[in-house]
Amino acid sequence: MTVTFNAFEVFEIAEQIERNGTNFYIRAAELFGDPDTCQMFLKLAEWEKEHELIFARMKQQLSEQSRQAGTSEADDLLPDPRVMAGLAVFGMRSNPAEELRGRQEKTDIIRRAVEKEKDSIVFYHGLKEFVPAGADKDKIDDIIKEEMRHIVILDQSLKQYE
Amino acid sequence: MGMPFNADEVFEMAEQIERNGGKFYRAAAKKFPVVSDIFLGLAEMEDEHLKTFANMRVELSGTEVEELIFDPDGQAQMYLRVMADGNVFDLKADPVEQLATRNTPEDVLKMAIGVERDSIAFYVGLKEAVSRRAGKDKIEAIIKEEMGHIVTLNEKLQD
Repeated sequence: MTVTFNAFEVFEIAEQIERNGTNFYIRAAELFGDPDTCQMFLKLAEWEKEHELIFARMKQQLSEQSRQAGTSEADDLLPDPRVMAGLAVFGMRSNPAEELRGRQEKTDIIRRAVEKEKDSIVFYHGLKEFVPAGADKDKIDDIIKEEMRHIVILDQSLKQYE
Repeated sequence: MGMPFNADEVFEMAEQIERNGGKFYRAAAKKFPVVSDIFLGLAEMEDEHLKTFANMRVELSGTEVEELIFDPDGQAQMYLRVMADGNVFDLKADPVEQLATRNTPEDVLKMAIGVERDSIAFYVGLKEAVSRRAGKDKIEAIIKEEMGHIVTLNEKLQD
């Protein structure tokens, strides 16, 4: 049976993606002795933390809207919950600390980071479809662009180690 | 960083993604007859996407680059450049060879979800970089269909 999500839960997954990203980058920074790469990972962690806060605020607004409308959060159904159920697989990957245990090759760590960024881009693009046009949609668009920029930064770093 | 944006190059890359997708699904269908209906259906859809991108490339050939791009800060083009360079997105890897290490339908369904995800990650950048004139809406329609493929694959995985 397919598991479906309501709008509130989808924003929770977005927050979790960012939380995982932050933890992954902090752990990655610990594994790199080179100060420049270490700084890059810590900066990426900081940006992911900012994204998490943006999604948390969106979730809170949704919760307040539900309360004012006298409905429960579980009633905030998505127009097509199957789509987000499909994409949710990208937000429910393994614990980042576990992922980096035993994965010490530097290029592997950077490549893993790129994969996480791709997961985020695809999930947020799906999420954007369910948000009405306006400020929140624009914010998600900005986050997608920032995740693309992270891939550019990671690619530059990868070239240094190859 | 290698720039500028070259429309012909990125649309050719989109075509290659779809060509690889079709090849991958046909090989997967042959290897695992139990899920062949799904894979052959997806292969046909990738063929249609390939035609769409090929037509777009032909239609846009000769158009001024300025008319094709709407990317004021150049971020989407830099992203596409990174994807096109093949360092973080390997289009040259033969999908059929990659399939050789997958031994169960479940493994192949998971791999297929990854293939679809990579396509969407590239097309989101492509859509960001191009103007309406260059077919932004057509790219969005293909993204939606690729998301639909992920839904299909995920549902099969959960069966």
